[in-house]
Amino acid sequence: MDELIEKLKAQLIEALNLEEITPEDIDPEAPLFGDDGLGLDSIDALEIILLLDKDYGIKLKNPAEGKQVFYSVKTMADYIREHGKTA
Amino acid sequence: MEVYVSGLGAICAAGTNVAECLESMRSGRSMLAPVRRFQTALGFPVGEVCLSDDELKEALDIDRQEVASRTALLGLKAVDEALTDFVSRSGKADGLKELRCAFLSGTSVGGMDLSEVFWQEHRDDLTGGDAKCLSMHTPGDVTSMMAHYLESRGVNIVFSTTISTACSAAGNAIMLGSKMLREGLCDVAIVGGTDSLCRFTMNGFNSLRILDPEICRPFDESRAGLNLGEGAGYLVLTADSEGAVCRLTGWGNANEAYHQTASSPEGIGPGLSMSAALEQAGLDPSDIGFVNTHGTGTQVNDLAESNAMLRVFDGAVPPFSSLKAYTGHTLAASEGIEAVLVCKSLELNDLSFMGSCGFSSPIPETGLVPFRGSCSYASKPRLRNVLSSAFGFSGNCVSLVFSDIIDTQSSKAL
Amino acid sequence: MLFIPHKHLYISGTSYVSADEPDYKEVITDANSRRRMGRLLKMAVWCGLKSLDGVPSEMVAGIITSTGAGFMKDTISFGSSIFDREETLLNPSPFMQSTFNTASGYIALIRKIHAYNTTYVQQADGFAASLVDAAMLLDDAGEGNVALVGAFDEVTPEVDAIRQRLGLYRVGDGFLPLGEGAAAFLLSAAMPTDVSESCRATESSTGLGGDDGSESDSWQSGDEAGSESASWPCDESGSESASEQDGDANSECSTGPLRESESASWPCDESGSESASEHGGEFGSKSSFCPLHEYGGTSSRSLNGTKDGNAALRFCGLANLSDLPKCAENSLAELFGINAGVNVISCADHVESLGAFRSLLPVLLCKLISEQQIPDGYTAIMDDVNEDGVIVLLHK
Repeated sequence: MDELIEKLKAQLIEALNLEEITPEDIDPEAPLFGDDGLGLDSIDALEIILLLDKDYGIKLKNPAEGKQVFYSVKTMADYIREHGKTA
Repeated sequence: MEVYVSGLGAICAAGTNVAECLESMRSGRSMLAPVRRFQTALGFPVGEVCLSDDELKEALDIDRQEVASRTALLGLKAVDEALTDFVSRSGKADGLKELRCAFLSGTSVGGMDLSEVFWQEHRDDLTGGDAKCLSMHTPGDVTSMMAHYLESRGVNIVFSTTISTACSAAGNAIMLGSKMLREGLCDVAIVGGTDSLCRFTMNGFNSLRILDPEICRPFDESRAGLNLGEGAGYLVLTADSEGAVCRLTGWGNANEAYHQTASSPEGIGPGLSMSAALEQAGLDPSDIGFVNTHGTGTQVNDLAESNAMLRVFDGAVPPFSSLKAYTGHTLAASEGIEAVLVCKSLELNDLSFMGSCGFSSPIPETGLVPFRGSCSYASKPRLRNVLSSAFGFSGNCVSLVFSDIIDTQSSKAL
Repeated sequence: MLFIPHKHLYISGTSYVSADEPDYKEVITDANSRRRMGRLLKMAVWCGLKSLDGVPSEMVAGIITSTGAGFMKDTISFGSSIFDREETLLNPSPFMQSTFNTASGYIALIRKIHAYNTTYVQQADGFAASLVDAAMLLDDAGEGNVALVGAFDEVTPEVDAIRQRLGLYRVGDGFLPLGEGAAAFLLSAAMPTDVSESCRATESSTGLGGDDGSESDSWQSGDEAGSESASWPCDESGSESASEQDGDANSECSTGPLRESESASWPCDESGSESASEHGGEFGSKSSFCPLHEYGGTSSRSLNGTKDGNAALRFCGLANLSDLPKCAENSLAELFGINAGVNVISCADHVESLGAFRSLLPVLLCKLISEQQIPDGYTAIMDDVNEDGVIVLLHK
């Protein structure tokens, strides 16, 4: 599980071009969206949906559906383990 | 110096010329439907022009073998109508040969319709295919091709350029034309915009999740997004009142500076451009008889624009409507096509073709109800001044005021 | 078309990027904006923000940019993804950024500038349109305002491959190297002087920026009017002396990796707390703008960082390359109706170092100004690399 979380962190940093953030900076349980967390927004949500589909075979239709899934890195990892294909 | 609108031309889903558009829109029926011209997985309703590229070339006497972007063809069809209209109204058969003409065109996609076909087939091997398809890729290439066509038919073009500010481009072209006329840089300004449907924009707007799978419902509580469209609309502006349709009396451009693609909920940018146009025209908000809105049918735009109108008109919003369910959102062409229709409404003192369709209940936050084209408008005071706006990505807001030509002493409402 | 502006228009605050990219973080400070921006967008926005450094947003009458082909990398990226992903789950960012007026919009967004904003996309000729438009804008806006004029173009491997197929910039059996770059400068109807003084004086009379504590602080250098140590650009610390600015006139407009700038504060109204609604009533109202020279003291530092007021550079006119043959002996002086010799700077001579591209002339213009390589008297910069090139006439 740790491996998946670390991998997700690295993928998020790359996909969203978070240039000044390292995996260590991301608290797996902290909210990704909004001012309290990484400060991601609705466009990032669309890119995360793409990532989940491309790399984990998870097909989410829209950001609203994904709200619970990518609340935090941990919720993403949990969802992937349950519904997706991990490499 | 007064700026007169002396010629009009338009083509869109509602019709291949101005008269056809008026007739179709008077019926109150939207013609939007899934695209037929190209293959796409996206079945959203769009405003497609019913002529093929070959039919357009034939109408323009352009050889079928000649590489020409649909954007240029739609544009030339509308410009051709506008220039014919100008010659007939002004009685100046040789006017376009002798007068100094500026050609100012707005477009967002340029020749993307051709580029994307090339790209689909040859992106992995750029040595394949006909590279000439890419020679019209940029907006500037499209305008150049149009300018050459016009010059070859005797139009004396002294200056041409392309404005590309997304959905407000035609409005900016119209604004630039009036300034150049006043500056004495030209005698005639042929101004407007053109855009054609293509997979790039359809997919682009779909990726933003702002397309409505149904026909759009501007200013309606249930509105769920916009429908794309294609077409072109051009005006001929001059300083000569002979045979003129109406006057262009006000213009304003402001930047919202809020977000890359969305308006602020208060509609700050739209409010600024509307106020600037009114100020330029020397009018009070109460002098405006009708407002042609941008009204795309997205949650964000229609609320923002409503709030802007409430503020600018201090609560007393005049009759207003959105034409997007007839034309689709024609992007850079929108203010060109809609300006043509606004000018007709002033010339004919007729709003029967300017009603919103698809509306049933107002946005709860504002309670505003758009005009739906009832004929009872004929009994009201004469339509004197119309405000028309378009708002593009990157916060680009443009508003125009058109006024009638009956009483040039004062544009004030009677 | 020959265009001669009515009034003297001064060029200042030049910046450009070509080949070497600066450290964008220094100027585009918001990481969230930066991470979304493609390379060309960062170049163009960096230039725009650098040129506007220290200029209050209220003074900006307009932002006008031009490009030949726009954001090709984003266009190609999105276009490819349509087919690769079969029209599903596409990333909207490259689509949004492929819009030609994204740079104009971002500069306005970051600086909260609500003024006139437009973009010309007309091969190499869009720059001419922007100069004409800027001149007309300044006519209407009055003396105390500036227009930001910017230009940008990029090359990608695909663009290079395709332009060769189309025969663009062919020379003999080969091709000119393809270049890319961005540039920006300010155009103003008033001779640029020390902005901080005039703004300080105006602030007290119009209450400009009075609502926003941080903004009014930035205009007070704490020094006397006319003093050599009045800081430029406007610096919140207020203590930076003129001598620190002396060393390198290029410090405001460098091309290489940006060296650690002494003037740490950027920009004067970065707080952005002054909301748009405060401007709502002022739009179009000239009294709220800060006149450049009205209260100017004896210090004559021009906006491009040099201290020599006599080096004021004027934009005197433009014409299309095709207008030249109509004159006797292809005379530039005759074309512009002047009775003086004209130095000629040909873009073709700089292709080796800058590469050929549609925004070559504006980038070269800003580079030469930044390096103080514009000779005294009249100079015509001729874009003889592009078929639809223009000639811009300057006077120093």
